[in-house]
Amino acid sequence: MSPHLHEALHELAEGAPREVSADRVLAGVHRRRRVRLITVPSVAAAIAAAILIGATLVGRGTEPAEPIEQPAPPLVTEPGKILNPPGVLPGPLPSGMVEPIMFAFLDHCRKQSLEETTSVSGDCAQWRVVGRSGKQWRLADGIGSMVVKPDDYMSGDAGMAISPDGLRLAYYRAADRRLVVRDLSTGKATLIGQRTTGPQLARAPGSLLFSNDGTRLAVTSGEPGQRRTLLADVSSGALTALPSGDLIGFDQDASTIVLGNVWSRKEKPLVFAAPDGAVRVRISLDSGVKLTGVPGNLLSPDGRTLVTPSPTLDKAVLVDAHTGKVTSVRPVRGGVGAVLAWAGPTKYFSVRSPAGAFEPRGRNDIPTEEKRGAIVDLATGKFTYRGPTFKFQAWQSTVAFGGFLS
Amino acid sequence: MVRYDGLPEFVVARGPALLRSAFLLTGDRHLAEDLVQTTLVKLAPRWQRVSSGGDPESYVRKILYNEHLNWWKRRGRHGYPTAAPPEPAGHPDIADRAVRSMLLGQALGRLTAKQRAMIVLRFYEDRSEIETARLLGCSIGTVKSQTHRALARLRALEPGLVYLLTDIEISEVAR
Repeated sequence: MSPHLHEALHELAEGAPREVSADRVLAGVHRRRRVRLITVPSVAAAIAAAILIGATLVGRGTEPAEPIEQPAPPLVTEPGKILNPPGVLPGPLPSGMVEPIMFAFLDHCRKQSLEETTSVSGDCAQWRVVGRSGKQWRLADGIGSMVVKPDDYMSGDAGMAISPDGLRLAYYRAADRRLVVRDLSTGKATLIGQRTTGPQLARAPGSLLFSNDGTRLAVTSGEPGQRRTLLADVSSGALTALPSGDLIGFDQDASTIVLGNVWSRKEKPLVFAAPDGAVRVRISLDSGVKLTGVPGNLLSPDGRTLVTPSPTLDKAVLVDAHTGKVTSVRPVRGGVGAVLAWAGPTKYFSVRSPAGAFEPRGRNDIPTEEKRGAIVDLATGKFTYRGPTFKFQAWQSTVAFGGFLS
Repeated sequence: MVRYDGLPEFVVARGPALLRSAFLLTGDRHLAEDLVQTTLVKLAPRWQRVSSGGDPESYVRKILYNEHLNWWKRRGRHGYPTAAPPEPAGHPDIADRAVRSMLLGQALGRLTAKQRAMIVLRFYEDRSEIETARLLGCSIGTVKSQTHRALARLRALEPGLVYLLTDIEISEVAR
């Protein structure tokens, strides 16, 4: 017990809103109940139809359908349908050529409660990747959700990244715990760096990000404020240590890399580095530019401009990469303020939730997530969707996007 | 409506307290409202059973904290965006309550969701280690170690707040 901290927390809590509307809560309850009322008869009808069809087939002497738990490569889901229906797993990703991948997700075996998701294992704990045509596979040789102790479950995922053209995947391979980049146009896998131990992965899962041309991979790990980034040449697997900091962005072929501290409110200078790790220049950003929590590749393909989101994510702030000065502030509409990567000279790639952040909820209380890629035009502030809506159900999930240039 | 008998009264009576905890967890008024709304909507279908048990507060807080951890997880492990006031010019006067609240809020915002939950449960709600472990569904050892890490991080993030933490005596487990 600490009287000082207790008192300070109470003072801080005084900033909270004053009351909760009981009417609003009940309205939310009724809305959710309506969804269930619609869903349950539909499911019952579907089950009845399935039983009828099954009985008819058996009556004709046809072999009964295989149980749905049997993996069947690949799983094809209709647009807008749930990607991870219960009891259904896609087959393993083929080792040879595969179509461009646009989306990947971990659903932690689609467990029914938060606690259950801390110790998942097996095929259902693997990354699931979705191609441009809607086909879905398991990344069977990769590490996905890891078996972790409850106190570590927040770090229980091994990272993965999809290149902008969708033809390269970076992930941790289960057999040797090595980071690999798999070229889906040839099937070739390139080993990156050293073997990683399980505890290392759980403690400091690296964030992975491809350059726009897919030839370089940035691997960032470490505690916030003390992050280190390594740059991998995906053709050779060679790693180069970059100056400390999170990756802010790299130009088209990663010949210029920008690093900084995205966890600090007092922004430190940005570091511009060469692929060999040499520091070229350090610049200070205008005081209005915030990088806190920035997740993507913010440097334009020509290396001249940084695009940063405003704190309220309704504006794109363009910054001259040579001076650090703000050159333009562009409004963006539709909740697409978060920048994942540039997608052209005046466009960037973002992700939005078409159905809102936390609604709707699906059956059995498992939250439903809907995500869709969007290309934002900085000239107009408008976005256009890129690819289908990816919809899945999970108590905990981790996702990766790519293939937006495919 | 019988199904939700007593729920509106519970919301009115305990809503403000839930909002205060949610605000400390999220650092944002709107997110706090959303978190409490989501929590109460999840509580409603179980209301009859929970209220007949006599302690709906514990149940709703368990949902609140788990929901908070789940949000944070789904949001990609980044801190919640906050409309933080600008940094004060020069060295802040830590004795000033407003500045202290601001610095504490900023420092809390840079902890992990679980560390924030530990701080709120242990030092705002004054929950015991056993109660905290039960609410978060983890072991007492986890509570001790996470609290230790959270306090250490607060000290490191904002040295000006160290005096708030000097009178804390907890049995810490360094892992």
